[in-house]
Amino acid sequence: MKTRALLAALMLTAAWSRAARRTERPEPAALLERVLSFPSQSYAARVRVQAFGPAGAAGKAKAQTRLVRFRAPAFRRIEVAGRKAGPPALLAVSDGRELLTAWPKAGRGWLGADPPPDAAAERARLESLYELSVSTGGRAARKATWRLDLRSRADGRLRRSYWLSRAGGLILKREDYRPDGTLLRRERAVRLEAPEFSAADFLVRAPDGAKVEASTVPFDEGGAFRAREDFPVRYPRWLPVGFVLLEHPVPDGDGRSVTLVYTDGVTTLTIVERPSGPAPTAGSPYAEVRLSSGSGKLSFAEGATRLDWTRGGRDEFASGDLPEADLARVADSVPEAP
Amino acid sequence: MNGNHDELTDYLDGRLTAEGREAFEARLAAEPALARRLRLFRALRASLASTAPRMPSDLKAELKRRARSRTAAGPSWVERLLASLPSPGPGLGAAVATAALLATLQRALPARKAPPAPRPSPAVSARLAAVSSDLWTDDDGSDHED
Repeated sequence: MKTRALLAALMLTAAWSRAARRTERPEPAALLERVLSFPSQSYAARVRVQAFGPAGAAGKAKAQTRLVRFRAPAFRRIEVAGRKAGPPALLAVSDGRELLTAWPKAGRGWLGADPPPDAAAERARLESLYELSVSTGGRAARKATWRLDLRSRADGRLRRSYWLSRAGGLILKREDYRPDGTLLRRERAVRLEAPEFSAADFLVRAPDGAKVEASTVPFDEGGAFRAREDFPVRYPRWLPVGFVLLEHPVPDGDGRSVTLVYTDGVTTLTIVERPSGPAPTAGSPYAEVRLSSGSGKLSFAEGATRLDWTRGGRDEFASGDLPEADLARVADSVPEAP
Repeated sequence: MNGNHDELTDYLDGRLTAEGREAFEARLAAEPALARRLRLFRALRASLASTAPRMPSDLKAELKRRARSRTAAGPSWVERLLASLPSPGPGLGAAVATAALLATLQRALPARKAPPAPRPSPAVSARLAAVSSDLWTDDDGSDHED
């Protein structure tokens, strides 16, 4: 009798402990730190990326599959599968110092510096824009998750959500929303794989048959554009995965303004630099974001978000159907001087 | 930012001080990888200088037109008319009635459409198609695991 009572008490205590651990939510700041840091352990994952058009846009959503490999502390390899079997359509490899982006089927690519992520700056940007909250996140890649929501301080709407694995803190899913509440992008790890790598996986070198240029123009695939020596251009040093310079940086008629256009195939990012002065905006600014140069103003019109900021005596804006946090990171990567 | 990247371009462009140049040349002698990158940069510049195509005039004009089109859309005619009405006061009832009438008219009239996005030039369209054709496929947008 006493033995049975003791066993029952032990079982109840164990069950209560398990229940307590399950419902013990981490602090939002702790989850944000995991988001902003490289994982402590290596991993490999098959990720599905979906891009959704603005409200009223014709056509279907677009998707691509990526094979992501990460080897601690900062080695990354991303392969974007092409429509047909064979070499990947896009390959990005970083050893933490240099970034190689190559299009193996096209036989071209570029090699340049890979600036280390500035977690403090990113945290400052995100905290200036969003309120954080944590909830249970269901399952992703067959793993239980915590969900970290980032809601705009300006209008209270959800802008971004992360689903992180409870055991390890891997980002297994992410969704981005436009200021009008429509879904912009979703990235979901559909399967985690064994992190079995070879040293060659993370070598920053061109794939066989691809001509890779050590370009002085960041994200200039294949050295297609000539770096202008008569008009120094301040190129952004960071772009989301897959973006490439689409249009040559052309100065305006007076030689004082320049337009840069990038694309990843479904989204176009435009960056315009001009002398400081009255800044025309596409819509009314709805929020300010903290940048290293001060602050930037966000506006939203016609399905695109725009960020205006001033640096080095010149006004700039970045516009595109991109998450506002990504626009802010692009803006902060533009150097003070060419 | 990788300091080597900026130092390479500064060295090639002659922007380093005398001391900086000496220090950098000492590094070149001691770091074969850095010397190799310098040779690659030199070869790239020489190659681009001799083979870079001229900017098509239609592409340049298209870029300028698109930059100019990215300006604020002015207030609608309804907004301008409302802004010209007297502020609420003794005539509050008349102002409210006028605003209601204007709102009714605005709903009855065709909505003011946003200007269409500028069409890219053929050269840009071809480049965009080459980038996107193999990278993205149509999708039903559902959220599901494999």
